[in-house]
Amino acid sequence: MDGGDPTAVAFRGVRKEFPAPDGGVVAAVDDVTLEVAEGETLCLIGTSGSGKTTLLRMVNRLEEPTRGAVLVRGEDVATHDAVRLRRGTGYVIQSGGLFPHMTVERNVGLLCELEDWDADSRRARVRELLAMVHLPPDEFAERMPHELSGGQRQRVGVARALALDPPLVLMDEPFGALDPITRATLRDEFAELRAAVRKTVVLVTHDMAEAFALGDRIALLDAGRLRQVGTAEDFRERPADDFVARFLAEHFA
Amino acid sequence: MSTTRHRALVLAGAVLAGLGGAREVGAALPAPQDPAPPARTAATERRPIVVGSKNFAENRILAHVMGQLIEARTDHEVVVEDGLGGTLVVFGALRSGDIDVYPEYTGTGWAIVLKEPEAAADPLRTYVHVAREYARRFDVRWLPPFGFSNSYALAVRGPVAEELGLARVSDLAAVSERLRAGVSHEFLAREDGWPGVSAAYGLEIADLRGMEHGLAFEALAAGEIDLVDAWTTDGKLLRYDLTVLEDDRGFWPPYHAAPIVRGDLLLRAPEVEDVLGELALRLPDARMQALNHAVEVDGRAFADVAREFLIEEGLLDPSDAPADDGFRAGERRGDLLTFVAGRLGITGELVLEHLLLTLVSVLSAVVAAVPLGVLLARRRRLAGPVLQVAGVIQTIPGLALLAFMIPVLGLGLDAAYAALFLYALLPILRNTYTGLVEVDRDLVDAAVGMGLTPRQVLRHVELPLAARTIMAGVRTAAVITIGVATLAAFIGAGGLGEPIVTGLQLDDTRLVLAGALPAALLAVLTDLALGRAERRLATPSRGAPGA
Ligand SMILES: Nc1ncnc2c1ncn2[C@@H]1O[C@H](COP(=O)(O)OP(=O)(O)OP(=O)(O)O)[C@@H](O)[C@H]1O
Ligand SMILES: [Mg+2]
Repeated sequence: MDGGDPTAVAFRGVRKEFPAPDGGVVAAVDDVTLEVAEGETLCLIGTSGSGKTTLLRMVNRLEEPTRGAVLVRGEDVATHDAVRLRRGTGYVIQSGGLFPHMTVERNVGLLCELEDWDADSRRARVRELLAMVHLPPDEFAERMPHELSGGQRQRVGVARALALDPPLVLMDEPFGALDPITRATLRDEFAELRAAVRKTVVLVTHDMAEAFALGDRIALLDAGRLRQVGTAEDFRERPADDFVARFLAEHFA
Repeated sequence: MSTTRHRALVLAGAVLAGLGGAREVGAALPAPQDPAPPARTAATERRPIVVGSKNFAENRILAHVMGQLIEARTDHEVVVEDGLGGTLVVFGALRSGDIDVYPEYTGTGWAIVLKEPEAAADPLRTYVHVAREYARRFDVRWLPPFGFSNSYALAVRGPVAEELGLARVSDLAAVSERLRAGVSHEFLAREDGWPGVSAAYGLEIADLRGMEHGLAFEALAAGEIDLVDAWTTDGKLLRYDLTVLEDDRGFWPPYHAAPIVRGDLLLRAPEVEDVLGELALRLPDARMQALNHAVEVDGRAFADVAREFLIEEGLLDPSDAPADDGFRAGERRGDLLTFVAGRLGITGELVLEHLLLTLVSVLSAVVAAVPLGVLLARRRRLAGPVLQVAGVIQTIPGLALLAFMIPVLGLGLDAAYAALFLYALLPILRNTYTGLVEVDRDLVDAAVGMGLTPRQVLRHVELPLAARTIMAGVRTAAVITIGVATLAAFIGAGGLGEPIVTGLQLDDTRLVLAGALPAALLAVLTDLALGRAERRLATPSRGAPGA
């Protein structure tokens, strides 16, 4: 546990089952206990299907745990009003999720619009956010999503998640599906952004280097189970078991 | 009030005052004696006067009687278009100006056209009421009645009537148990048939059978049954030894026939009113029976029977040339261009009627189907069965669906709206459902994850993304509805189907085209316009929403 920082998110013995095609159940997340401190960036890492997305979606109640509880700022999310909880939690989905029928400006400003901001402050906020993710507003505000490159779309997705200045941001492979150079650029920008806006971030990736570069701490999942939580150094110096050691070896090859 | 009009009412009163006793009153009143032929007026209009009729013998004979008389007494060319169809088709043709005059029945005008809620009873009141309402609402004038009333009746075998002393329906009550009756299936089922009349007169006939009408008369002649249902002017009544019982309690509404005329015809050919006025009271029940008999039983031509009648009545000079080719149904004069030009105004009106019919039906279908489609997309287990039901409705042929509506909503606009609404439902419903189900789940997920309420997700994400598919459904629905709406004319709802229906009856291709071409054009234009709207929806819009 990190010093005296209050806990932003806590998973308490969380298990999530999905119905399996054979009629039984699969545990996508199995008995995970994990805490994320206020202001911390936690990277969730693991192979495909290890339960990263599922774990993330339980934070903003897109999934309900089968067992155990998820707490945000000390309170079980089940007791939160789902809409309020989500508006206070930025969410960048794996596939980007920009609304294809809305301009960049409207995508980014949609939540402000729904929160009844007046047009001027909405516009100002959108420009500020676009500038923050390195998209010149004059050039990009009026574009439609299909007029953007993959990297630009991801940036808009990040800007949209930050619109209401949420204290907690969930990012599901925000830099996935991009070429390595763009990825590296975005990663650097993110690090820069992280320094500027102090937020709690839970970031899913299956890129170990990315996790090491961005995470204050890293949580490694495998088949729904938490194999190790710790800093980059912990992982390098003290892998918890053979599996972790093998995972590191493979992903740094 | 013109003197002619005044005379018409007096005559009408005289005829109708005696409880359906047109026969007696008609016989008692001296028919106008050999009126001097009115001075021939110069035909100021080239357009012929078109006399129409419904599709049964009596009405067609009357059309020929009127047509020949007008032809003989005026300078106008006359075209007889007999057998156009049911009441609403013929009335529709009159209103649209396809025909200028046809024979109508007071009870029919009362119940079918004016849709009066209570049954017509008093003959005079009925006539005066329909005459006033037609003039006020449709600018259609009722001229003096012919004299007979064609309504349901009960008839008893002559010897039986004599033996039991039966003259009125109420006489039956005492002896009804001893009689054997054979009535038409329709009469057995209709509220104004056996169920109604037996209740009104307290009749209890143990041996009561439904049978085909023609057979019933044969069975009666063979002495196997004693009582049949009939029409008061049925030609067959003459052929058999029958006593028609008087409807002494006035159970059946009066169905007095009279010429009805477009108001504008009386402006361009005012003499028609006097000419047709001469037919007043010339046709009591028995006389009409005889003419019907000549056509239905003896198989004689309508025009010949009409001509003989007019000559007998001294209304037509026997030396006058018989009806020329102008009387052959379906032969309109003038070339196609004049025909088209002459119909521009009417066609415009029909197009508007048609558009209104389509618009109201499709819009109400949108209002019903879009929310229902949203519900189905939310509760997908319901989707299968509901879409199946909508699909079944879609497979019902247009005419059948219209027919199903009639018992529920009656004839006319309401039934047409309901049927067209049902047709428009499926394409919109199916496309709304499909459009919503096909919205990328990730986008819905992103919206929910951002903190949009279900309603906001629907409004800002799902509906806009499904809009194109929904619009395609509306487009399909509109095109289908424009097509099916042409059938609405069959039940009197108007629109471009009117000339089609009339044209089919008349075997007049030009008239069919006068409805079919604008309808097809309308469908194509609608398809194009809505197709454009659809493509506009497909291109993501930059327009920010109203704050
Ligand atoms: N809605 C669902 N219904 C059934 N099974 C599901 C559902 N969502 C996830 N799963 C299953 O749960 C397991 C974990 O899935 P999850 O999406 O959390 O993995 P992930 O670690 O995010 O994988 P990736 O790196 O490929 O995104 C997988 O086996 C997946 O098939
Ligand atoms: Mg995932």
